[in-house]
Amino acid sequence: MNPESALAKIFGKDGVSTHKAELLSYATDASQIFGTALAVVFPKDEDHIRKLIILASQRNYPLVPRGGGTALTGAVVPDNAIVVDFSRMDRIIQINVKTKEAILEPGVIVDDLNMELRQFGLYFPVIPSSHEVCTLGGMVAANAAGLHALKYGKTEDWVNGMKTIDGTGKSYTFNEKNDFIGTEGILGFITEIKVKVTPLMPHTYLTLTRCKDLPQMIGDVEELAKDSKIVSLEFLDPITSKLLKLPESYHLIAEFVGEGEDSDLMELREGASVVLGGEGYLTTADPKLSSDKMEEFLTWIKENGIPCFGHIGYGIIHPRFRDDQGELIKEMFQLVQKLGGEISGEHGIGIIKKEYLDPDRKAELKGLKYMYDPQGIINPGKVI
Amino acid sequence: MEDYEKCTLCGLCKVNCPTFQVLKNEGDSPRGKAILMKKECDDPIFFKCNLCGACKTSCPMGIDLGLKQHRAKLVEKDIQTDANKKMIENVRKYGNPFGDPDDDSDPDELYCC
Repeated sequence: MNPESALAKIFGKDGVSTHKAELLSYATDASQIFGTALAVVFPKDEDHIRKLIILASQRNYPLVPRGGGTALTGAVVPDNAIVVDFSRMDRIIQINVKTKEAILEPGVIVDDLNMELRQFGLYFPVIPSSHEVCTLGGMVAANAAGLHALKYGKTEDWVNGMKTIDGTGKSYTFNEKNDFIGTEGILGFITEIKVKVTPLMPHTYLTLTRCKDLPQMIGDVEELAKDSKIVSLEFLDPITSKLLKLPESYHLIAEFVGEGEDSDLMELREGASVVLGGEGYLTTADPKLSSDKMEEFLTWIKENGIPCFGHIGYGIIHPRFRDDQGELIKEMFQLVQKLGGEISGEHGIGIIKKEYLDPDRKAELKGLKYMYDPQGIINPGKVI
Repeated sequence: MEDYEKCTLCGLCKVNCPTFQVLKNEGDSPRGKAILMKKECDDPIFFKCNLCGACKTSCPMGIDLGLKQHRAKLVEKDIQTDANKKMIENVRKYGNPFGDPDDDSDPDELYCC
């Protein structure tokens, strides 16, 4: 049954679309995996969400929560589902300068939040590379990290509480961390987030170091990571370095708090993804390795001619693959598992990494799913 | 290879797109239009665009989606909005998009590209 008229009763005509072209635009995310959207709805408040869940539960409509649509894993790709676009739930409800907290709707974009916080000398320090368009709701769901993870950690470290509604329509107001963080929207919907914020970061400066080989780079990373003034530590492999017109070697880009010359080195690092995309390396992975396994992992990557870069100071690497390198991706995930690493350090599992998820974690998530969404209507087919 | 085929669907084009910033609908965003072009979906939604070029400026790869040329192709297939049809009709008939130049009253409707 076409859900349009029932949805229009909840969201109004402007709050729902079943226009063919619009549905096609909502059929994918940055993963470029395509599904099928039955309808798109634009909630404006918690009441909309509650009514939607009741309707979906009665009629067995699958629902897919969506923020900025920047997931690289297919986490918001609908499989004959209604897409719930949070772009219009984007109010910054409160900024408490005294307690250094902000209360937000899930559709707030992280750069918009930081623009508001700046006037109070405050800052939300988790900055993914998609910070200009990604939403706080999506960041919480994916437990996103980012450039400054070495100093500031991941999104979970900055969430002080959330209002959520699960797949049965039950509301929760938690005062502490909860199961909805990092579970990629499979348990229910986030309707409000309370985040911690921090005083604006002091002036920083960047340095570029050329490393003669991989062992030297690993040694340099160990030394630099001990520096109390370091806030980010990124690397480029020889293939990426060459494409960025640097010598064909490993390079480290380190960012320190303190006075130093401004430079465009971070643009160089952010350009890595673009130049590799231009060479046809469109698929990004995000394994996380411990420092003692990093050299073994990067040696395998190098031997297989896989270009990579990433937040090496935090252990997250971004190997890049061409469309026809599925087997190599599989081998890489097997190696990550063998080395005791995490198959996803910051992008999440979504669709593309499901088969590699740790069995214990999968069992744990299945238990949570059964508890919060026994009917299985919220973001089905993802993660587990 | 056309430029739009190189689009990786990262979504950064939405940052400065005035149409998306107002409507907040992925279908109206440059990325949404790139998807439609990749999937060969012809639709009047391509006319929800100011042709300002902000998407090209925001794109990390500097991709120009060629929306002006694409719209020209859609018009040839008679896929366009009623407002666009009226504007073309007025330009052909009166030499301006607003209608009869001898009529001193303000036009009831304004059309633009």
